[in-house]
Amino acid sequence: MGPDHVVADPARLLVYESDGLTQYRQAPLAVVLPGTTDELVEVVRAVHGEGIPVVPRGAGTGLSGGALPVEGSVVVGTARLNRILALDPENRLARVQPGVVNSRLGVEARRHGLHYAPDPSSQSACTLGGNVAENSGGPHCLKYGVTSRYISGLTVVLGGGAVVELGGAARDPATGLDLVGLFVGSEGCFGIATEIEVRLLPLPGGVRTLLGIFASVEDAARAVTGIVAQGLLPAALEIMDGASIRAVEASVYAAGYPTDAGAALVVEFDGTDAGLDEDVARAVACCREAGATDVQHTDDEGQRTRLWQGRKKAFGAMGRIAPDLLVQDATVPRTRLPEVLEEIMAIGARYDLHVANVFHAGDGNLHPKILFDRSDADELARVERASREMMQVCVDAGGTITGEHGVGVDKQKYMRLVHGEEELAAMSAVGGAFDPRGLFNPGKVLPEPEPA
Amino acid sequence: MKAASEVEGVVAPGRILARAHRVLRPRTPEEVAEVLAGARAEGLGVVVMGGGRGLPPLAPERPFLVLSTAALSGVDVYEPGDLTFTAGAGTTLGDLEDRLGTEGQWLPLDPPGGRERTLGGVVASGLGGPLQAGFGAIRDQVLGVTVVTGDGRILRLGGRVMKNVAGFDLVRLFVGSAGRLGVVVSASLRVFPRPRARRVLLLEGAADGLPREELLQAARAVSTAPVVPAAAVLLRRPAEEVLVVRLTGSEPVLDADQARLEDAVGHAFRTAVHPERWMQRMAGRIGDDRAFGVRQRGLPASLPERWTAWVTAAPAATLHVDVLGGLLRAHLPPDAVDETMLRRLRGMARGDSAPVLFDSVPEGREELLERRRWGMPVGGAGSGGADGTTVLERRLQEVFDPHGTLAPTEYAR
Repeated sequence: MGPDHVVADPARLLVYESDGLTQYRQAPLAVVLPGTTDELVEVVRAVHGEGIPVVPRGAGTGLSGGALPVEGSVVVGTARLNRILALDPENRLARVQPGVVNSRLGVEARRHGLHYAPDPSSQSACTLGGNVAENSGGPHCLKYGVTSRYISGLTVVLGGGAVVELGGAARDPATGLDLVGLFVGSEGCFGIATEIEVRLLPLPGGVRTLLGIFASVEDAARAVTGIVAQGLLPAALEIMDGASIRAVEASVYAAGYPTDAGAALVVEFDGTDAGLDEDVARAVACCREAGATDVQHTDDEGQRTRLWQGRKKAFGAMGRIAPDLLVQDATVPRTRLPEVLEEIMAIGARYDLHVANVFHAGDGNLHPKILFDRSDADELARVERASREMMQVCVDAGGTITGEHGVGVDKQKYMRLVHGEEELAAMSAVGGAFDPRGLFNPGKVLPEPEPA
Repeated sequence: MKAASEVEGVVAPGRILARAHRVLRPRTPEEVAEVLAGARAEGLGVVVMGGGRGLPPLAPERPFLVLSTAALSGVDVYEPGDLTFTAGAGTTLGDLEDRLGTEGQWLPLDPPGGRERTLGGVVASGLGGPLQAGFGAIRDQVLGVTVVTGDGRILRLGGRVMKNVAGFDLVRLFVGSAGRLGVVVSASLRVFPRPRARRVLLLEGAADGLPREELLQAARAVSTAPVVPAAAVLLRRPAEEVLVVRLTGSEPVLDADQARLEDAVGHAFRTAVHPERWMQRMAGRIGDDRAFGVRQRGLPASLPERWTAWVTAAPAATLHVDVLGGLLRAHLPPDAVDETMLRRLRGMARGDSAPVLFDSVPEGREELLERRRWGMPVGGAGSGGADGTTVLERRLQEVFDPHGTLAPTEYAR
């Protein structure tokens, strides 16, 4: 590998000091960007040979510090491993390298009338290797499921550079353990996927998008309950609260949502075109019944983009109005959403913090956003305390501490809210089966053992 | 072990029950742990049994007891609004179907054996039926499991929420682990709203005057059509070959999907008059003591080639292929399998094809497979597993069943 692909200059290392969760920073010893599987294997062998940890990195868009360098580590970036190795429309499979950007696979698949379903909000930048590591979700996983459903096989590089084939679409699932399913979501702690076999789906025949405006989040949540009770299965069910709407409307991303609204609900149906208008009509009725002040719907691509605009740009818009933004992530059983939201807002108020909510209402995945200024030490401390209380509220409601962002370094401190010591020990032992020397992304995901 | 009682009247291959030292029926996770500890103390292996349908065709060689999950049954939590439930491992799919039906919901799982299968058995086997095409595999429906590991630890893994990435996904590890790592005592799954309507479409070779090649092309066309049906299988009995497609949705959707499939296939389907009967045939059968049951996985595109190979090699076989998933199941009459046939089956697994695996063996014919041990692949790529995979699996077994108490571990070693 040439010097072009090894970064050790402190100025150039700066961009690798953090991922999408910027409050944590750590410079690595170096960054290496292999261009082939063989180079990747060589790098891992050489670095591990020195007993030095490897931190895998895709596009660095993660929100939990999964790609945050560990002290004294070498970051192995997959940016140059960006080839789509095979696209097999006959079997609806693709084989890709880990650095392929999520939306690029979508574009290539579209040529064959196919698509790759998981669509994390960062899909125009994030890589499939990162999606595998984080088991990424997205707004459309209500109907389609998360990344793990679409990964059928992996070639992985394990500790010391050993290459192992896991699974494969032609493999009989009963001939062994589901090591693919186990590897997906392992947050770079087991090894690096160097080839990924993904399942593709035919493009839906039609799409309808509906936007409902409500006086309160409770009303919007009632509409969602009605939609689910009707037996409808939308592709997406997204809610943003009044605070988020006002942030968006005050920004360049203004989507025309009324700024006095308490909540906006985006519902999307896709599938066989002939059934969509009936689905929309039933969902509109649910919105009206729940007290929607306005309901718009469309099958026009341009109009759809506009209706989604506010939802998709909410993070960016929020970033404008405060120096720092913490995007939380938790999941609760869907029916508990209204009460959990109420408690989250109360916690925000108690700590005098500005909190806004955008969430995947269909699957109970919340993303409270806390706006703050990290240079204000007191405010930072309040953000920490409020975050923990919010996590506790979600866990008490039968939920969990992360639905799609991962644990990384950010959620380790909450792992004991959801897991007992036996379960944590089992996870640690499973990690050890893949990485006995603990040289892949060490110190991530699992919390420090409790002092005896 | 006075807590767990001897079991009566369970359905299971007689040969396994006959050779078991005893059959125990624990009622709680703690009792499961006691059974495992007791077995270890006596040097017995443990075979976990749900409904008895998915058990390996041959009994383990070592002395063993059977742990039945029959008393670990019942729905613990059902939240229709959340589209989730939690139930004991011994709960049958039939009971779940009835319970979910009262709320207009269903579990889109159609493993062979159907309503008699238990939740724990299906989760542990990881093998669903053709509905996986439309609704995802079992591993995608399981949100959480409670397991008792081979060394007696009770682990509560995952949860009851749709999205959960809090730590390594050990739920996935136990789904499909076939009793090698631990005993699944309960599971939480997501459910779906019951479709408003359904339709079963048929295209028969002989009855519709279609040569086999055209029927196979039609099956391929279904799996590459721009609409994914809920399920599609190609079935064969010696005098009958038929493509069966199941659609779900509202009536206008069914009409539109049928039209698009007919466009892709180039033939008109007939609508089944007795859809229930066909849906049962689509699920297939398993654990049949009167036939040799085998299966072979392959990619969907290899269907025509594999179908022809099977029809030629085993003319007496009934065949069942998941057109969209690629799994082929064959049943052969007891007298159709001898050493020559075994060699032929081994031949089917050459090249890129997956191994041929035995699911069942007729009474009295066990000796044919005993030398190979039950369920062992008879050849083909991946039959031994890549070395790296074998090492990983062995390490994982050591994590959860360090003393080798669970008898099925022989399968992997």
